[in-house]
Amino acid sequence: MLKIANLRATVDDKEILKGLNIEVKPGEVHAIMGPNGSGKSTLSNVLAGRDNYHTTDGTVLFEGKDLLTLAPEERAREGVFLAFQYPVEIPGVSNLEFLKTSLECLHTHQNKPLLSAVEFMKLAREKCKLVDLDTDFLKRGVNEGFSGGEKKRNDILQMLMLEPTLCLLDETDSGLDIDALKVVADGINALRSPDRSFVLITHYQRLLDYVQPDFVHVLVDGQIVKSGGSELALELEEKGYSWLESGTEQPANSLKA
Amino acid sequence: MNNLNAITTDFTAKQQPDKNAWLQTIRDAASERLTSLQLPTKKTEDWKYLKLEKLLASEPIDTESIKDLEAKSVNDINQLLAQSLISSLDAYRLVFVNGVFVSELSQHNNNPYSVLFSEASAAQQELIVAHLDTSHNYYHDYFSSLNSEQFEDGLLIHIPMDCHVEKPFYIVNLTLGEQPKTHMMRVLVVAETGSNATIIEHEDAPLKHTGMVNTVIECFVNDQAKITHSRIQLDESVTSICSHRVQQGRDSIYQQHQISLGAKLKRNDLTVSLQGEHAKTDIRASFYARDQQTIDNHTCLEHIVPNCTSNEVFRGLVDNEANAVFNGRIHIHPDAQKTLAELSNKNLLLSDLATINTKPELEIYADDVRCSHGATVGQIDSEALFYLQSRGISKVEAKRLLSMAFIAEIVGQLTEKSVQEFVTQRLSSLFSSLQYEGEK
Repeated sequence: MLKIANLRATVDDKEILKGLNIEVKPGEVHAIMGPNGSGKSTLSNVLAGRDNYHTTDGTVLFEGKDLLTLAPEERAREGVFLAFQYPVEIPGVSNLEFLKTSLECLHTHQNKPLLSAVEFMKLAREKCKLVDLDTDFLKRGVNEGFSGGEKKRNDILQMLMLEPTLCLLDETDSGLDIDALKVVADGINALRSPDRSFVLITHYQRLLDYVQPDFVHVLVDGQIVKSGGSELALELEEKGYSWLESGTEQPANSLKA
Repeated sequence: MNNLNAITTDFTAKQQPDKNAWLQTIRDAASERLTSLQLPTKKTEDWKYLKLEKLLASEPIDTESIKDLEAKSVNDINQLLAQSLISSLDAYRLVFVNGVFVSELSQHNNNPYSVLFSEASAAQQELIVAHLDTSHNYYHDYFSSLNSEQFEDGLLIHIPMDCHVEKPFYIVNLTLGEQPKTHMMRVLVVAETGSNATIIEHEDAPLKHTGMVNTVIECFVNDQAKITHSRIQLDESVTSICSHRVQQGRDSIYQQHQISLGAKLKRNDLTVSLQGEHAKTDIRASFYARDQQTIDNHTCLEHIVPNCTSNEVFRGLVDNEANAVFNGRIHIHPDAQKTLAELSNKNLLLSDLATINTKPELEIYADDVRCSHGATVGQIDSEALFYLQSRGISKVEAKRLLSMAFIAEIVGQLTEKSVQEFVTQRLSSLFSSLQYEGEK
């Protein structure tokens, strides 16, 4: 499904990702954990295709396609979804209009029949219920005046509507109270299926109490320094990251040909 | 200089002999003013951002389309025109084509409130003469003086005392066919004490024919009266100069919601004169200019007496190589203590070559007032753009959504749902046909 090999990326000429390798197979849930500044957000931004993030080396294959050559909207249409760390507010564009446009773009690309207005509303209402958002939210501007938790739940609502094949969640759990966290986790679990994969980027073990990962990776200074099963997350919760950081002293950046 | 003469002759071409002789004193006064007024130049402060001579030069005529039109029967033409109207709007509909009232397209049965100047009774004539050209600041304006000298006919809307008119007045002015001369639209609204009415004005050019319109609207909102005024200016092919003057009495409310598209030249002057205490003015406007269009908005709020409130919001969207101007002035006279006045102008430039000149001005001669003014010029928010893209929406579509969003708030203020839908549809079809810069 997703194969990241030797990925190097810079932000403002500063190298953040320094040869990152991960492989995600269909149906798997991977958690990427790591201390502040280790490159977690850079990874999700590179995968989503944000400007200002430049890859200097390595490949990212999504279902065999070179993800890095695709525009952000093309990635989404192929089935990649990023839940944002900080979902933006877009006053004046209603959630409904946004969801409808988005879904139409995806369905058109995927040669699926477009939903009628009635079908769409039924689906939207149903998914709203799943993430515990009142349907009134659909009429409001995208994230406009939403609380932090509502914004995150709105991202999960979009994920439920768009049914991506690869879901990247960038610290979706941060800033959530325990009830909202459960809602988010339920949303993820509702989507789990043998042909859908998840990459959860997170600081804390908390979310992983509700969404059991198949693999846990530790990202330190732009590289995966340790991988393991879900028990690794518990170990990290207990010991912190320092024991891993000290053990992986990097040589000075090697000169590239 | 020859060019200038040609333009002024075109703009000032003498109209038909006058049926309405009772208006002669008003015309004479205008002629008198015109002897000392000139076509504004770049040195005229209020016109300094425009190359007026160039903008007023005649435009090429779409002869093909006009030939087509001339071959059509009156019935077919009327049908075509009817399609450009907001048909679902339940209103007293008053349709003008090239400034001439067309009864066949209008629906004004049981409308005791409006009358053409040419059909005015003696009492109405008296009312018209008593009000026309009496509002604040009319005297130094070249184009409205031209209008006063030359308008052929006009529309009077007179709301009697304490009368609440349920149906809105829907005034449409369509430009169609070959336009050898500038046509003069003239509207006078007199809302008597305690009355209440809604006016929706719609300017359009269904076949995108070129033309020139010089409009003067005067609106007298007497004590405790309320006028809600929506204006939709969708005639992109028409060069238009409009002077709009409002005078408010005590405890009156005047609300204006305006959506304007650019044109080769579109100039809107709005002057509101608050002459009775506790009067409230609320202006919400949005404009969109594209290609090489020019749109020039001037507003002036004259706070003359104490305890009045005004709130003005202008949102501009400027694309391609278009040129837009916003000049909003708040003038607090020495007696106008306890005034509350707010003015905000926000602009979004959609292209590197688009221009906006914005100039909010406060002129305050009273010492106990609360006034604020602000203007911003920005670009589309890249974070919002990325968010939409990351959900599969193309950059062009995302920009369309964000552009619509920028003026949605103003569209949402238009009084009737059917008007909102009509405008939304027009704007979104306009935006979706656009190629944004850097997109192919």
